Amino acid sequence: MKKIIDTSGLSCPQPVILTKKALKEPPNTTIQVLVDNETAKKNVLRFLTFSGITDVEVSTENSLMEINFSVPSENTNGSHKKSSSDKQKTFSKSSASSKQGTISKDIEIEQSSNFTAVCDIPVTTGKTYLISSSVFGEGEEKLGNLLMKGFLYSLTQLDEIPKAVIFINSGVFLTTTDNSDLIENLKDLENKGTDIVSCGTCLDYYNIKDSLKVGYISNMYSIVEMISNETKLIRI
Amino acid sequence: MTEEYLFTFRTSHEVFKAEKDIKTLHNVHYKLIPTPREISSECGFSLILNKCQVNFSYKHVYSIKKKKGKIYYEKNN
Repeated sequence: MKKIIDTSGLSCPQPVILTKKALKEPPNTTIQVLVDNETAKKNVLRFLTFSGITDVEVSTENSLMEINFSVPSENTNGSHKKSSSDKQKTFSKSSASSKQGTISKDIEIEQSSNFTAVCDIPVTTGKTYLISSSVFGEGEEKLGNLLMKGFLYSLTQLDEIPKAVIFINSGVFLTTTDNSDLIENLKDLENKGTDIVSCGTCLDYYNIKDSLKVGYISNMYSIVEMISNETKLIRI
Repeated sequence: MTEEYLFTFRTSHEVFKAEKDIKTLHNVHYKLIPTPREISSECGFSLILNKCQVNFSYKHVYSIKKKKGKIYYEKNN
């Protein structure tokens, strides 16, 4: 069974509300959400990630973006579980303001609370960085690690916030690391509006999918799209 | 707010050694960052710590001051 939700022309947070409603469909129903803007896409993708749905396909058809996923058999949506210990991660607006507007923070709150979509994600026009290794440059691994830490910290200090940072191959060790400083820097970027993307195949290959600490998982099709559509791409 | 200190080093090997030593200490939170441009134009790394007294070798130590949202580094040695 397939259900198409066309959110084109709808303003935030309607796309997320409709996506949330769609999760009440019977298990394994294929859902296709059509969105016509980046903010809606980000909100829907983050909502799905925090609802525990990681098998998501994103593609662009004409001017509309398609987000495809299936309703999980064990639904993690708040309305389906009654246990008070169950928590659902939702978005909530932070009262803190930055130079770019409101900083959006992902806050884990009790499932009884209402889900609030973040409608004011700053639209970033910065560059896209493709990080294909856990180390920066060729040479001693120890030095490469140090340089990469410094590089990611320096990205947070840029005036022009990166549009996306994509991690492939051993680069995914950086989004799954136990190094809290590094994760903090990446979360900082994410809160400023940068897409932090990890290659799903790579996480799977290194068997570290469960250790992902920041950003979301994507597949080669979306990564190729992100790279292809980009005129400002920097490969590290 | 806890005062923070920034330590600069002579070589990258000294940075590695210092980081290793700090990891063995408790209650010392550290952050490894590229040396701020205000301090050095050379490519180097510095450690930010919440304690000034530590037993590793370093080049200079700076107090980190914040005035009107801007960060200043005040040289201590």
